[in-house]
Amino acid sequence: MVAVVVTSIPLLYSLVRTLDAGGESIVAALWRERTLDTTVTSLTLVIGVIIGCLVLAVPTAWLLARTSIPGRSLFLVTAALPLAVPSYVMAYAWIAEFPGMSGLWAAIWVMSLATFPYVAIPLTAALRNQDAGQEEAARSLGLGPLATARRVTIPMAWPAAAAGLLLAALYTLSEFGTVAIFRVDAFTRVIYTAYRASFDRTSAAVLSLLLVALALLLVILEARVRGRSGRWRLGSGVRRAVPRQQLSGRARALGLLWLISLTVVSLGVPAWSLTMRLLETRRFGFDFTELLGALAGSITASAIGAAIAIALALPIAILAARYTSRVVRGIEGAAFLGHALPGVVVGLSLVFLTLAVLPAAYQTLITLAFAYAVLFLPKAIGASRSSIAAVPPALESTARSLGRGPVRAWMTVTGRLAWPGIAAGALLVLLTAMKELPATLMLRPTGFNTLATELWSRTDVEAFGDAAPYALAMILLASVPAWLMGRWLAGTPGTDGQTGTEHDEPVQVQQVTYVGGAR
Amino acid sequence: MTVSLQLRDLVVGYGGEPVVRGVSLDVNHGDFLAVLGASGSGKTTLLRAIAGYLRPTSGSISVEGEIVAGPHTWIPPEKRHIGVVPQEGALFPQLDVAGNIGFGLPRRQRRTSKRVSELLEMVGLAGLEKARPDELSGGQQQRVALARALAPAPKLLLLDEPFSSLDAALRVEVRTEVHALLSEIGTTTILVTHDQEEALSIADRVAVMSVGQIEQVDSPWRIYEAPSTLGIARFVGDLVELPVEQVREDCALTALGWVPVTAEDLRAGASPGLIALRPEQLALVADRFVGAPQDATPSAVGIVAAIRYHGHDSLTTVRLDDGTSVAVRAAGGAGVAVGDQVRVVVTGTARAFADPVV
Repeated sequence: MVAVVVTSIPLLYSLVRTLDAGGESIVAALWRERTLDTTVTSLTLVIGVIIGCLVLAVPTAWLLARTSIPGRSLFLVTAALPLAVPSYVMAYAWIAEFPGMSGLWAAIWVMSLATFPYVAIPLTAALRNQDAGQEEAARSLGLGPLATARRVTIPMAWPAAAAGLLLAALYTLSEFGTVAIFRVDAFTRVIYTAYRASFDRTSAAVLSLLLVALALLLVILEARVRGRSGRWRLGSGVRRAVPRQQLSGRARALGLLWLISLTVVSLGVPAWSLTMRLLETRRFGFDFTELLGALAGSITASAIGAAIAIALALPIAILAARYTSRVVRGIEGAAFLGHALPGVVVGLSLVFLTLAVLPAAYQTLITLAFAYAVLFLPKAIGASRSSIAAVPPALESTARSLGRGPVRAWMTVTGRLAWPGIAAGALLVLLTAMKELPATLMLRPTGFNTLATELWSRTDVEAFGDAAPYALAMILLASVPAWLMGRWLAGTPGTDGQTGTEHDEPVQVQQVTYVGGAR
Repeated sequence: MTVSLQLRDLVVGYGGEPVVRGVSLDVNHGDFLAVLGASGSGKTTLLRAIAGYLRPTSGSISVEGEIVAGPHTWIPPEKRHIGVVPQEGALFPQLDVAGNIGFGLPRRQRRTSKRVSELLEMVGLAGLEKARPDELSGGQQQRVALARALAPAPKLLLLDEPFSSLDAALRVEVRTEVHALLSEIGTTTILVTHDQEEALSIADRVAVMSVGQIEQVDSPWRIYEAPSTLGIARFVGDLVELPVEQVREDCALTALGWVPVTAEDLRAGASPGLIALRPEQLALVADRFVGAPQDATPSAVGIVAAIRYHGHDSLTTVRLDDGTSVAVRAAGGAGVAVGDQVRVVVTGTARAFADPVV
């Protein structure tokens, strides 16, 4: 309960503050032409990315899940890897190579490349794990291959794809770095600019609330879609995998061309661009102490943030894993809504809050760490909850019957068994927080630098060459969870058309969620 | 009678060793045929080839005189008009019951025609049109799957172990209903199953399949009483196997004395190695008759070693004086206790087989 209250403080505060400003100025701020423009821009961006994700992910998932295309396990990994590249690093890599890029189209292009794995990975899993039974039944009932796809395969795979699409949309809506680099006036950039201009804070707060409302809508839709996908399997018997389609020579060539092109634009271009910039850097000389300083800054702030997040998450996770009362579900749901809080909003509201209530805390390390904890609490809860739920309650009650007190029983049995999951959750928060940009920009102490802010300040002044080492360091850090997820997927039975095991799928989907929302 | 399904030298595989290895079979119009085989015998592969899910390596399949798979012919499953009820029902989870049943009907018939509600009534689920598949029990799901397969009036209906996922009591109930329904409609049906009781009780004819080949096609009682191989005999029910010491005319000397043997078995083969009896062909006589064997009835004396009581019948294991164990089935209880001395009497004719060991 305390945890929820603590995390909702920033949001509640900015709500109160907005209301304080008086009805008229709210209405005025809402009805300004710029508000409408911003909304239209953000929505266009989000819809563009949704379409982009579909175009990129659907053929990829079909090739990987349903055909005999060579190199499937390799391409499965490369299809997940864009998640390891923070989207603004990808934006930086593209703009460094093609300095003319800017505007909505550029942002849609880069965000689609950065987020299509959210759709491609669960869709591949869904297509691969579908029982052959339904498709065969449809064929025996007189439907040709295309009609079967339209009436059976697509409706059954749709929830997985839809959940991924909403995740990509949410990510796009709260993305700051990319839209700022391409100078797209979406919510995040407008809010940040309004805050920097500092005379217009009511407008920033109103836009924040509007943004949060949109994000909430996406989060709730996503949860509903995901909930529906749970009932997709009937019966309890053995599932038979759908046989892979043997491709003709020409189809195989086209499929390979598609997968290779996708890998080139989503990974090759960023890699090439960063490498070239890195070589330039070496020519001009580079200040490594600065890089190490930024790295230390990133690790310090993120580690404190991760510690706070886990401390707040554990009670919720324990309750949610063991009890299903209405109150507990409410708390968990509220924490889940935290996915809807964009970094720019949390940053802004904490700026307001510290200035008004506790000016001493303004732009301190602890406020920054607290912002990370608020932002990534849902991830911490998700990871620790599933690992706690995996420990059979009977073990703990057995420990109790053998004479251990409740706390000791938990520590020695459940906590002991669940700690790898909890630690993974903490690591995840740590690594995600290192990539966080807008809240860091607003809340960091003066002179305090992280990898993300250093990268930002260099792309801001178009010192592209100098930014490369920071971008590389961020990719290396961010690739840890993506690499874990790729291993998870690659190790799934069923990659080669054998029957997959059922319990793998929730793990994969959940893993996507963890990595998802990385800002 | 017209032939509904004809298989000729059918070979089907998944790339490696063939799983179905040369099957020829005729199924008459309106017949209910059960393909009985242990798991791995190739029965499901055979069914999938008939349905059109798998392309045969060689051989041919014809339905109602039309070749649907052959050396130069391949008709995809959607053009074969063969209904399939898969193992788990495989209902479409995104559609309600009416949507599932109407799935194979032309678009204009799907919502308007009375066909869906007629079929629902036929399978005993009237009024459940709007239910979602996940709200149905296993038995109901199977009935919906059956109605869905029957909706487009298929030429042939294939049932792929449709009852195996149901619990024992429900299984008997559903399969009895399905049998009654299908014989009423008169659809030619092929049931694939590993359950011998199911095959024997439901089908007009049973094809026993083993290692990719069909070993015997016969009526259920011929399969049980006159199995063509020892393997079939063992597979379709409990068996008492006795080594043969000597043969005279149409009798074989065994631990139970001179047991009459089906004449053709002795004529056909060389000297049989063993004879096989069903446990119900033996009877127990309590010990007051011991020592008073009646005329020529073959019998032997032994001690009751174990009793398996099932309520409607019981299986008593008797250890004969020479050390051989035989099983005796009696309706209800056998009226003896473990340790009793009893006489085992043969009441029927045995089958003779060449001893597989020799």
